[in-house]
Amino acid sequence: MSPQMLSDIALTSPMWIVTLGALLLLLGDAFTASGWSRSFVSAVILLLGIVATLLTQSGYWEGSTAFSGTIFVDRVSWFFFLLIQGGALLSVLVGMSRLSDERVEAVGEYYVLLLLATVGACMFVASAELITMFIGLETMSLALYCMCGAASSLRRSTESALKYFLLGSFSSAFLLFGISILYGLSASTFIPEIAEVLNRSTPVALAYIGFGLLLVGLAFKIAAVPFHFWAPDVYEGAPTPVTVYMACVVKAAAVGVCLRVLWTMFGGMLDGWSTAIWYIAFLSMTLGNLLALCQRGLKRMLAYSSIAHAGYITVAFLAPGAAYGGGPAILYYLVAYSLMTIGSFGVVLAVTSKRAGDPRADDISTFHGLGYSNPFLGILMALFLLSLAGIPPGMAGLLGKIYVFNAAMQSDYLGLVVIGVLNSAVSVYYYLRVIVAMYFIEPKEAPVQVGPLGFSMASILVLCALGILAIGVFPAALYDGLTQVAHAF
Amino acid sequence: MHSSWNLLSWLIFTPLIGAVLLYLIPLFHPSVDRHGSKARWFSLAVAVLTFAISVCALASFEVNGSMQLVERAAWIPSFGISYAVGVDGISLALILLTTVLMPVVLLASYSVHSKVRAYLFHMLLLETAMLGTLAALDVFLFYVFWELMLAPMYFIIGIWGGTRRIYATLKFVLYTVFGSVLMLAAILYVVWAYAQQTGEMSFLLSDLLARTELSFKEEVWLFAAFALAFGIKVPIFPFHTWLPDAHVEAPTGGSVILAGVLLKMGIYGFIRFGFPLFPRGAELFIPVLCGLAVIGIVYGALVAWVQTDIKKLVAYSSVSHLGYCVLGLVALNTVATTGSVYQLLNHGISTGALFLLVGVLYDRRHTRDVAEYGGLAAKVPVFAFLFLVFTLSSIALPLTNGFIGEFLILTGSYVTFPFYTTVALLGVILGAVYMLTLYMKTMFGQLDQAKNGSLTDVSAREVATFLPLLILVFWMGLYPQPILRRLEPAVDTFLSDVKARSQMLEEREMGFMAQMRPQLIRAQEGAVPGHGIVQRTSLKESNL
Repeated sequence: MSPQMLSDIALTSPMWIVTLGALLLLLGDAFTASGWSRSFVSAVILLLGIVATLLTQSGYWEGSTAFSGTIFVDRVSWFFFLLIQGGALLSVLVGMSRLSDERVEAVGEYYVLLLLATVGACMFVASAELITMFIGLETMSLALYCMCGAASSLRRSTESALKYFLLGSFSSAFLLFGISILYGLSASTFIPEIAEVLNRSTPVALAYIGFGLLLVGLAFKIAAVPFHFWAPDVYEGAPTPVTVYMACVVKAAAVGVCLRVLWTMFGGMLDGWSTAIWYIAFLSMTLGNLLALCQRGLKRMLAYSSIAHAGYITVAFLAPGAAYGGGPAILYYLVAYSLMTIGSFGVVLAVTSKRAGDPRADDISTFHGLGYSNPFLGILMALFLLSLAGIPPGMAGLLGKIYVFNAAMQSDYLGLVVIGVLNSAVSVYYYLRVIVAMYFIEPKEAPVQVGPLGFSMASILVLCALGILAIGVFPAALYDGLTQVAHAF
Repeated sequence: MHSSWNLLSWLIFTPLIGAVLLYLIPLFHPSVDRHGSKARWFSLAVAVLTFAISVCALASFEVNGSMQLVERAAWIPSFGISYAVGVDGISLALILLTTVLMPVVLLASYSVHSKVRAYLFHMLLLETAMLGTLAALDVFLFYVFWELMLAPMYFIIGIWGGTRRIYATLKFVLYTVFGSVLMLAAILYVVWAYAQQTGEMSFLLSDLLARTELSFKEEVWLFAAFALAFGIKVPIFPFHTWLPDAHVEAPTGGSVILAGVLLKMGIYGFIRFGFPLFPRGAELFIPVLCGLAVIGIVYGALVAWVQTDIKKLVAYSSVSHLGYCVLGLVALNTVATTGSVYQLLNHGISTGALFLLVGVLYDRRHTRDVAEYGGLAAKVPVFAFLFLVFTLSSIALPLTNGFIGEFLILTGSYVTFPFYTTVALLGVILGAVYMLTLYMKTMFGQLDQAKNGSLTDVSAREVATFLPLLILVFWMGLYPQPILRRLEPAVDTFLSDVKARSQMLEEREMGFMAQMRPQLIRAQEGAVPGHGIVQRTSLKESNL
């Protein structure tokens, strides 16, 4: 092996470690009986991946590529490795004690798939070449399709897997078609080279078609309107630990790729795509919030709310790079959103998993009086919901919104800012309705049996809450770090 | 004047520390502290301590119109957001009102029997939010504290409120949020304009006031957004409909704080932010605000007159009374505006006390229906005396505090709006009518309801809650000078700031037009595009 190859392998070790870990876990699971904790081992593997990411930071800071230019080794990759692996670790820890309640039988395979999906997500974000990107996307997606169906004894789980699979392959096809058109246009699949070709001449119609097809595939993954239809059904049907994982990891990875595609690859065509992004943001925020208003199931409501949050994030795509604050705004929002989502879905998991067979287990009536029957979960859920709504003391959510809207304002999108703030006012209603259920309504029946939370779940929920307060009240250090990351654009 | 003691920070965060300690110290856990009496005493001590700190702030306050006890530290430097607090006469007066009312409310919290610790926690958190709102000199900090007032009040009404509490509390929150998000968009717009003109971002009020140039059209829209947020909070007719619901459903303490302090934030917001930032936009809206204020005064009074629920009656009287404050504010002269701020204090005291009195009755009889009472004066003389005093204060009888405020407002605003003020006088008469009718129906006549026969008079603890307010009613009515002396310079500064900024903006815009005219004409002819447009697009392109 050449020294270049070795250094490339060393630099991308976060991905290698998780891949190897996943394979070893698979072997171990096949050849040993139960009696050891697969979840614990996969958490350790993810932790090792995070450590590797932290150790290789200096290599990423300069900004280069690895493996003949197919992988971006830059600050953005580094940040997203950390975010994706961190999100995966938290979602493993928050869900590990409740997997059997959620009817996930093949625990070993489940964690193998989860680790592989994480690797796929990392590769998806870091790819500097479109075929590599597609492989990353498919690795992530295929693993996820199976994870959604992990509770194979439950109809809704199987249904969600099938739905996700069908629509997901459809969107992958769009993405692939877009890639082939771009290849035809520029005779290259490398993002920097395509960007160069696109920048050199005035964009032709084919470039827009390629862009449009690519956008369909990516918008599907971040669940932005009008490519959101799968999200409520899949979020609702999948076992809740998978939902936690999907909501934070997949969304983060897809947003990262959107950043690369929109800002790096199509940066020169800003005027061409800004209208499309404007409408996607507008529709995602508005429809997401309006549809969330009429949900009774909490998982479904949070799914629609995640569509709305995808809309808020999309707003900041219109403020490219660090100059307008769009870059750090999106990254900050992702961090805040991951904490809020893991937290809120985590609470839903804790409350509903003992009745996982019941399709109405996450109905809002389940939460009646939760604030008194389980004050710990109640107070955490209240904080997560306030943060999602952007009301202090949920400071992280508020600041995320302010960063995003400020970036849009600085780039002259006043209309979208007004739409955005009005949307966040609408969203207050459905988030607060859950607080109403938890604190203001006396339960008619006996309060729901939550069962012991276990150390890992309790500590992760507390960690998310503390994280929301910490990055919300003292955001300066994180924000400055994210600004440095965003300088890579 | 820089404070080396961080007096204002201690003032703002002492209640928060107390609130957190309520949950950290195991002594206050419901299993140990069965009836919450230890928690009550503790939070009362915290509130009294906060009051003591505010008195220290008063003692170190010099009588002039400047911002004092200013503290400033970078909070989010990359956005020019800082933690900046300070007080002038107006905010100090409202801060003192808050710190006086809070111990009173906590003393009155004995009517709360369930989840005592959580109630006290929300009250103390609310106090931090209110004090922060009143002291903030950074627009972002102001917004955060402004929004922080929502959550505790939402819980207070929602958990300890009456039967329709969920409807009332959601209505309260949604109305307020709807207004404040548009204010957020306006804040971001102002900061954007500032960044365009200076090349850096700042949320500091003094920076924005000194260096943001806005066109007249921008000012109108921005003021409208701020006015909506503040107008809903005041509440100005027709945005008042959340108020009666919230008041009726809120527990006594919640009502007192809502009427006593939260409603004042709207007027305060106009004074601190709305008028100084957008003076010409404000000027355009003055006739509208004035008209709505007068409608509110008369309408509120008329609706109060026909109420059968005592609490609802007092709530509608708030709509009427706050109308006077708006009227005095928009008159924009020293007398009327000082009167307006003075009336804010009065309303906090008298209406707060009236809600407490209704609470005392409700605790004993569990009804607020006027028809259920009558002839109480003979049975509960001390209560009747207290009720009389605060009723008279509410209808602004001379020698009580209300008289000074209303007199100043009406004298001052008559100069500016003779017609509107004349109509508003109708509200004074109606105010006397509905309050005295209420007094007559409940206190005089025959003691005809059997259940009222067993009513007990106010207890020593209840007297203790009313005593500070009683003293303030007479003190502020007989010797208002110490307060007015501190308010007037601040009001003068406010008025001259508004005028100066209005002139500055006017001149800049005229100057800009004069300078731009040749270029604009050329632009229209197609030779050179407009200067401003070039600048913005080139900025956008250069960063790609």
